[in-house]
Amino acid sequence: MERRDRLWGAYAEVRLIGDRSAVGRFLTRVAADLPLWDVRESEDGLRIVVRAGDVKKLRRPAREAGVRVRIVGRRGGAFWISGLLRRPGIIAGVFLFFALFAVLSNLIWFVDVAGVTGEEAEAVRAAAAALGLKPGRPASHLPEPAAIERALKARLPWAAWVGVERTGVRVTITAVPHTVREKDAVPPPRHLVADRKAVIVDYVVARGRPVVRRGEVVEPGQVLVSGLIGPPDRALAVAADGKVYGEVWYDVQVTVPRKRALFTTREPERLAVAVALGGRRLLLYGKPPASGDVLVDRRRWRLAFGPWSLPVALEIDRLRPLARETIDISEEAALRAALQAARAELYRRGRDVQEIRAETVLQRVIEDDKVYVSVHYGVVEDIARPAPIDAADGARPGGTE
Amino acid sequence: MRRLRRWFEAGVRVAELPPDVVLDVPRVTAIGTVHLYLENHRGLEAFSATEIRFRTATGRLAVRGEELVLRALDPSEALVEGRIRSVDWDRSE
Repeated sequence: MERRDRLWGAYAEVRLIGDRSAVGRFLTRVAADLPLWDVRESEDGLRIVVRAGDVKKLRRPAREAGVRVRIVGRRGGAFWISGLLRRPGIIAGVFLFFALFAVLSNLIWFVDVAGVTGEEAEAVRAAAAALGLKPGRPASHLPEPAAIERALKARLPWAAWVGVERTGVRVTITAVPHTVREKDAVPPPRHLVADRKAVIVDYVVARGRPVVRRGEVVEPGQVLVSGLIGPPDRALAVAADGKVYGEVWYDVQVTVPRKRALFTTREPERLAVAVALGGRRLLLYGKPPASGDVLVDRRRWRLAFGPWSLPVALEIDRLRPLARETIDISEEAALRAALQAARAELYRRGRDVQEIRAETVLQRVIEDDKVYVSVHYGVVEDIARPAPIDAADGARPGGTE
Repeated sequence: MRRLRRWFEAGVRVAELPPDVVLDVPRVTAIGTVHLYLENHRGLEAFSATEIRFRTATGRLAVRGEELVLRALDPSEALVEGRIRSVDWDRSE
C-alpha cells in the first residue's frame, strides 16, 4: 500500500475536525475496519487518506465520536482520468485519432511488383493502376485478389502467371513471364585440324567425316575431321565435332635443388606476461619477442569494474622461437623429386593428357646443390582444333584422303 | 492458563519455530530511524506527530519522535515514517 498504488484507484483526503480525544476515538475505531494512508497532523487538525468508496463509511463513526469529516482533496489515477474525460477536446482528439487510423489503414499505400523488373514491371504497375489498384485507393473498394489476378493476366499477354497479395497497406503483385527457350546456338561449319605433329592413335567423331587413319602421321594444320559431308559436288558443310587422339612428344627440362631451407621449432616455448594499457605493453615477465618468434597463443584478461570494462588487460603470451635450417637431400631423393617435377610440368604443358606411352631420361646432371634432368615423353592427347572451312576446301573436301 | 502459555513459548523456542507466526505476537521492523513497520497489531490507540501508540498481543507499543506520519494503516499492519526517537513497550498484559 504505497504511493505507487495511488496511480490507480480513487482516494479521498479527509480532514477531521473535533477535539483531540474525539479524533483519537474516531481514528481508533476507523483503523480497525478500513485501511488508512498518510495519517498526519497539520495546522488545522488531523488528515487521513481513505479509498473514495470508504468515505461513506466514515459518517457514522464520525457522528458517534463527535467528529466532523470534510473532504479536502482527491487523489489517484481514477480522478485524473475522469478529469480528462470531462474535457471534450481530449475525447474528440482520441476519437479522431482512431477514426483517422482506421481510414488510413484501409488505404493502399504501396504497390510492389515482384518477379519482373524495368519495363515489364512498369507495364504491370500501369495495368494495375488501370484496374484501380494504386497507392491512395481504399482497399475495401478493390475486387477480390483472384479477380484482379485474372484481369491483370488478361492485360499482360506475356505473363504466364500473376499473383496478387495484400498484406496490410501493401499490395504485392508477382508476375512470372513466359520463358522462351532460346534455340541452341548453331556453330558455323568447320573442320577439325591437327594442333601439332602427331601419330593418330584413336578418334571419336560426333559430327563430320574422319579423314585420317590410325597410325597415320599428321602435320600441324592438317584436316582430321572434315566438316563437309556428302558427295563432293553436293557437299553439305557442318560443324565437325569430336576428339582425335594422337601421340605427341614433349621434352621437359627441370632443375631441383638438393638443399632445402626449413623453419624449425626445436627450441622450447617461452612465456611472456605483460600488462596492456591502451596501445602500450608493460612486460612483467619474460623477454620481449624477437623477430623470429612466433606467437603461439595469447590469453587476455580484461579488467572489469562492475559492468564497465577498463582499458587494462593482462596478457600471457606463449612464444616459440623459430630457427632457419638447411637440410641436404640425397642424390636418389633429388632424382625422384626431379622426375616428379618433370611429370608435373608435362601435365601443365600438355593438353588433356590421356596416357604416358614413353618416358625417357635423356640427360641427368647431378651437382652438389642441384639436380638437372631432361626427359622425353611420348603422350596421347587430344590434338583436334576447330578451323574454318576455306572456300577452296569446298572444291576438294577430305584433305589428305 | 498462564503456566500453559509459558510452556508453549518454551516449546516454540526449543523447536526454533518463527515466534511471530506461531505465537501471534507483533513483529517490528525498523529501517534506520526513518521507517518502522509493525505487523500483527491489535489497533491504533493514539496518534500525534510526536507519539503513536498501538495495542498489541504483548502490550502497548509507543513510537515517539518528530513529524511522525502513518504512511499506511490497516487492521493488522502499520507503516510509520518520520524521525523516530524511541520505541517503548509497556508490558501490562
